[in-house]
Amino acid sequence: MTENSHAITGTVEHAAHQTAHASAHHEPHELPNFIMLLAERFHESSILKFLHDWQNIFFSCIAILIVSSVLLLTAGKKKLIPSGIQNFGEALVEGVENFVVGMMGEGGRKHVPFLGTLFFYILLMNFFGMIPFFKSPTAVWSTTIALAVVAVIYVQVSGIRALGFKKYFHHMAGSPPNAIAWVIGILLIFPLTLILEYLAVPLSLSLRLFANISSEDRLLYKFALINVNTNWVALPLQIFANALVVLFSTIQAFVFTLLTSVYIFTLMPHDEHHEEHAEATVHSN
Amino acid sequence: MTPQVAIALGSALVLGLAAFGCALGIGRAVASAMDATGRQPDASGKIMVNMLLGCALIEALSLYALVFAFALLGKM
Repeated sequence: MTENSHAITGTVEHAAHQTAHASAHHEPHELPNFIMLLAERFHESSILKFLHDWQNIFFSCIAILIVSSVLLLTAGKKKLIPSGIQNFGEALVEGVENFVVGMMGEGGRKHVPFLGTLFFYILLMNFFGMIPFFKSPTAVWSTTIALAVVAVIYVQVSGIRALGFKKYFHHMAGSPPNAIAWVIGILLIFPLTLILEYLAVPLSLSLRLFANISSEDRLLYKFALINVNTNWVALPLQIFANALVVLFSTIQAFVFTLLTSVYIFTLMPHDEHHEEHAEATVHSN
Repeated sequence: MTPQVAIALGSALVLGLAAFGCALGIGRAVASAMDATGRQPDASGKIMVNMLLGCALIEALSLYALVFAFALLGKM
């Protein structure tokens, strides 16, 4: 009896080990990028192996170079009437600034550099998946969790700077107006806010971006597979899929930036805003 | 019921349920966006931007289920 159960557990373990091995060998779920192809072609090269291990960082660095070069070239020329790349860069910056200031008010002007860079960096990284032989770094969770952690650190630090430590803790305890609410605030709402703002926010931001972009990569891969296997029958569908990928990449970059700015806004001092609102409603009556 | 059967059933069910809830939510969001656009057609740009934002947030919930299903399928 024990022999049989040993044999059964042995085979189950063996099967589990086999499937783990297979999934560890990365069943393909995305189109190959040029680093992967080069590393497969030249097995022995240690430079290519290094690049293949860190391919996400490599593509992120390409995105960083593009974003910084465009913006640095824009800032370099200071003509009063812009033209060429200065025009383009200024249009981008002005678009982000209008949006952020329209949402957060004048206090949001100092957050425009961070939010604008975040938006264009994520947008470019998302678009890399559509370029042949490139890869989106945001299609792996490591890139997006890094972005989300940076965004959360920025939000909390800017909140502490804007509010000061005492008001920050007051806000984290749920803004209790009297002593009894303070007790409830520290016991109940403070841990809840900690869990929400420090755990749920980075997880949700990163998982949203990661799931969307990796799903788009998988979609492009599956469509390419169908096209190759069935002799280009699904070509119109693939064109539609590419349009969908462009739209959703833009939307996800926009959503990440918007949510970060919303979190910054909730940690900004806005008590005068409430009084203005109250006055406005009184005057309108 | 071996773990593999459980994982297969669980992933498929979870994805279906998540898609169901997400579809209901997005349907409501888009319906109210259509109502608002019908009342004020020249605000349709702003309304569409806000609607897309809401849809992305709701869609993220069903994508969490997808990520979880992939993680489970990897362990199968």
